[in-house]
Amino acid sequence: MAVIEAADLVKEFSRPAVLEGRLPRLRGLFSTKRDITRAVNGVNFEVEPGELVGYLGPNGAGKSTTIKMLTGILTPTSGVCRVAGLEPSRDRARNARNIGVVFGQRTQLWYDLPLRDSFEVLSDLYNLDRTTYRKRVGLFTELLDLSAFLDTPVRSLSLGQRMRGDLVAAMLHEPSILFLDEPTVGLDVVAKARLTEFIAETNRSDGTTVVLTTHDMEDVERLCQRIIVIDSGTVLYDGDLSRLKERFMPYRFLVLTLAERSIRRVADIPSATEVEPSAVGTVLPYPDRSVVLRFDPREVTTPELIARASQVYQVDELSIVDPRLTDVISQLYDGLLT
Amino acid sequence: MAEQTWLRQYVVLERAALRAQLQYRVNFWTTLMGGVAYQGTQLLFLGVLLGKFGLIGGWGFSAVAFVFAMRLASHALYVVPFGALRLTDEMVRDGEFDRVLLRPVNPFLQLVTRMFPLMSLGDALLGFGALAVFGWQAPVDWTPAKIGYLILAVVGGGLVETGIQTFFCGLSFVATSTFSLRIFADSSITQFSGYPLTMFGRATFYAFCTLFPMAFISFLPATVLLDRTSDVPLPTWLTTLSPLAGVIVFVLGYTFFTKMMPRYTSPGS
Amino acid sequence: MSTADQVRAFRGMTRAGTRSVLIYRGDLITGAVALVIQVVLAIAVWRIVYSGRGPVDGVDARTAVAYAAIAACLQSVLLPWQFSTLPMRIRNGQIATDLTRPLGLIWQVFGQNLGVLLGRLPLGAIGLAVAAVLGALTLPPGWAAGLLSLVATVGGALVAMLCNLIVSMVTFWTFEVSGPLMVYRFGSAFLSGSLIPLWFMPGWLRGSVEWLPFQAQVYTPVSIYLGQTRGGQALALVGVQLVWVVLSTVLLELVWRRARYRVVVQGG
Repeated sequence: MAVIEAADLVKEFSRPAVLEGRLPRLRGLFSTKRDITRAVNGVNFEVEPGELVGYLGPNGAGKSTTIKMLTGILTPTSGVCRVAGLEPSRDRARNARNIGVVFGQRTQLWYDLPLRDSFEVLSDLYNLDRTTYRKRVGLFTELLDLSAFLDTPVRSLSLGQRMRGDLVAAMLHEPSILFLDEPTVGLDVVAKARLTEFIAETNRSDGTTVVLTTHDMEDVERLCQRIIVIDSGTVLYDGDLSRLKERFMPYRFLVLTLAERSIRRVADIPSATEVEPSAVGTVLPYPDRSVVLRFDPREVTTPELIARASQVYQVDELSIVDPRLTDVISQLYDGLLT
Repeated sequence: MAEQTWLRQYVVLERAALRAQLQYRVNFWTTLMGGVAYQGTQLLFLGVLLGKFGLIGGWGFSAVAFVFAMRLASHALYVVPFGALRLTDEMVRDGEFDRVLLRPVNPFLQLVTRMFPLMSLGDALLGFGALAVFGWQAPVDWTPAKIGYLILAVVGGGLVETGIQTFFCGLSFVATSTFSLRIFADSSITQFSGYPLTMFGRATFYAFCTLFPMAFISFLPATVLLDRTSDVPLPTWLTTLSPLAGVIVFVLGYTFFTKMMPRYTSPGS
Repeated sequence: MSTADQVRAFRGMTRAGTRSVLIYRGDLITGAVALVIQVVLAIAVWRIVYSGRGPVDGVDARTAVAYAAIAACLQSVLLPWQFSTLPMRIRNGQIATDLTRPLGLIWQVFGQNLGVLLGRLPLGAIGLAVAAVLGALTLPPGWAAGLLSLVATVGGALVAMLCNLIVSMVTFWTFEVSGPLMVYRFGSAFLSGSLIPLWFMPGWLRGSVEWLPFQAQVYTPVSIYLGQTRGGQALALVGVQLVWVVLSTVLLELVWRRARYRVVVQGG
C-alpha cells in the first residue's frame, strides 16, 4: 500500500492585486481586488514504503507547496493527500510523529541554544525514552561527525554544520517518512557528499521513505531511483530516472580519444553528429585529442558506430557517456516552453 | 509513544525559551524596566492629571488609581503566561510558523512558549504592587468575599486581554500585518482603562462592552467593589457577572484562532 | 562617490522607507483608525476634565484640548513603534552588507527613518482633520508664531530621529534592543509632553524635564503653535532644539565610532 498519496491536489493562493494606472499605491489602500494563483494544480502520485523519490521542478513549480501540504503546514484548497494513512492538515499532530522534515532554507533548531539542547527539547516533545535518545544521538554524532560542534549555539554554526544538525533533529524520533526540501542548497562538495551518503544509507538500512526536492541533479543521480518532475503545478513526468533520459534525451555520446600524432579530420560519420566536448559535461583528460559524437541508439548500435569511427580515426581510447540529468531536465523544461 | 500532558510540554518549551534568553544577559534588566516604563508612565500621567484637576468624570484619584491598578494586575496575568503571543504576527509573516506546525504539540502552546516572559516580571511586580497599594487606599471595606471577587475580576480581566490578543493571532493568518492593530489595542487599553468609561457617553461605553470589550477588564468589576454600579447603564446583576466575560472572550478568541489557522500561507520556498 | 551620488543614494533610502510604510496597507488603515480614536478620546478626556472650569495654570480648556489633539498626531508621526530596521539588521547580520554600501550606515538609516516619517505624515493629517471637525483646533496667534512652530516641528523631528538612532545603536552591544527601546519610547512619550503638557507638571518634574531633549520633540512646537510660548521665549526654545541637535549629533558620532569596532556578524 502506498505510504504517500496525492490525489488531484490543488493549492491556491490569493493576494491583493497590483493595480495599474494612476496613483496605484494610494488606490491600492482601498482596493479589495485579489489575484489568485494556483501553485499546485491537480497533482497525482503515490509513493511506496521504502522508496527514495526525487521531486523536481524549476523555481516556483509548486514543489515546496506540495511538500508543505504533505507535512501539514498548508491545507489543500481541494483534493486529498494522505501520509501513512493520515490527512496531514486534519491530523497534524499525529502526522508530525510519523514524519521528519528538513527545510534547507530555514532551520528548525533553537537559534540561540547549543545544538545538543535542541535535541534534548525535541526528545522531550516527542517523548523519547532516555536510552533511545542517547543511542540515536550517539549514532548520528558518529555518522555525521557532530561531536566538534554539539555544544555550539546554532546561530554560530556554519551552513553545513547546521544542515547536519537539522537532519538529526528531523530524525531523532525515528520517523518512517522523511521530507527533505533542498537539503544541500549552498553546501560545499564535501558537506554535500556526506549528507547525500547519509540520506542514502538511512533509506537503505532503515527502509525510511524519503521525498527529496532539490535543484542539484548530482544529488538526484546519486540518490533517486524514481523521480517526479513538476512544473506550473502539474506533474510532467513520474517514473524511472533512466526512462526519463530515454524519453527526453534519446541519444548518448561516444567519446573518442585519438592516438597521439594522428590527424584530426573533419569527418562525416553516418548516424552521428560531432558536438563540442563540453556537451558531455565531464572534463575530458585530453580535450585537444578528443572527438565527441552524439548518436541515437535506436538508429545505430554502439558497436556499429565504433566500427565506423575506427575507420575514420586512429583511436586510442573510447567511452560511452549518458547525457547528464541537468541537460535532460533543461531539455524537458524547454520542451514545455516551445 | 505515549501522549504527553500539555503541562509537561509547556515546561519543556518554556525552559528552552528561558535558556535561549539568558544568552543575552544585559537584556534582563532593560526589558524588565521596559515593561515598568510602559505602564508606569500611564500611572504617572494619571497622577499628574488628577493632582491638578482633582476629579475626572466624578471619580477621584483613589478610585481611578484602583481601577488602573486592577487593570495592571490583569495585564500581568495576560503578559506573564501569554505575552509571547505578540510574536505570532512576525512568525506567520516570515514563515517561522512552519516549524510550529511540524511538531506534535498544540500550536497555541508553542506560540505561548516562543519566549520566556522575562520582561513581564516587571509588569507583574508593578501590577500586583499597585493593586496592593491602591486597593488599600481605595474606598472599599474589604471583606473576604470582596477579596475573592477582586481575584476573580483580575483573572477575568487577564483572560479578556488574552482573548483579544489570541483573536489578533488568528487574524494574522489572513492579514499581511496585524502589528498596528495589536499596538492599537494594547495602547487603548493602557491609556483609557483607568478612566471611568461611562464618562465617554453611552454609545462609546456600549462599544467598550461589545466591539472592543475593554470595560470588562477592570472598570465594570471595579464599580461593583466601589459600590458605584449606579453609574453604569447596565442591570446590576449583569455588571456583577462581568468577571465571567473573560472566559467568553477567551473562548471566542481561541475558536477564531483555530478556525483561521488552516489559512496560513507559509511564505517563501 | 560624488556629493550628487550621495544625495541620490540618500533619497533612494528615503523612498524605500516611505514604501515600507505604504506597503502594509492594513497597518496603515488600522494606524489611522487608531489615531482617530485616540484623538477623539483624548479630546473627550480633556473636555471632561475641564467641564466648565476656568483656566488652570493660565491654560484654558480650548488650549488644553487643542494641545492634546495636536500632540497625539505629532507623536504618532514622530515616534512610531518600528522606527528603524537597524536593530533587526544588526541581529541577523545584514549589517555586514549595509556596511559595504557606498553610502555611510548612519546616512542609510537616517534616510530610511526619514522615509518612514514621511510615509506616516498622511496619518497625522487625518488625525488633525478629525480634530478640526470636532472643533478642537485653534489657529496660531499670528503668522510669525505659525511659521516658527513649523520650524520647531522640523527641529523636533530632527531631535527625535537623532535620539532614536542613538538608542538603536545600543543593539551593537546588547543584540536585543526591545527593552531599551520600550523604556525610551514610553519615557519619551511622557517626557516629551505628548501625554500631558509641561504646564500641568508639578514644579520639580517640570524642572527636570526641561533639561532633557524630549520636550524639544513635541512640547516645543505645539506650545509655540498655541501661543503659550511667545516672542523671545519661543525663540529660546527653538535655540534649545538647535543645541540638542548639535549635542545629539556629536553623541551619535561618538557612539557610532565605538560601535563600528564592535560589528559582530552573527554566525560568520
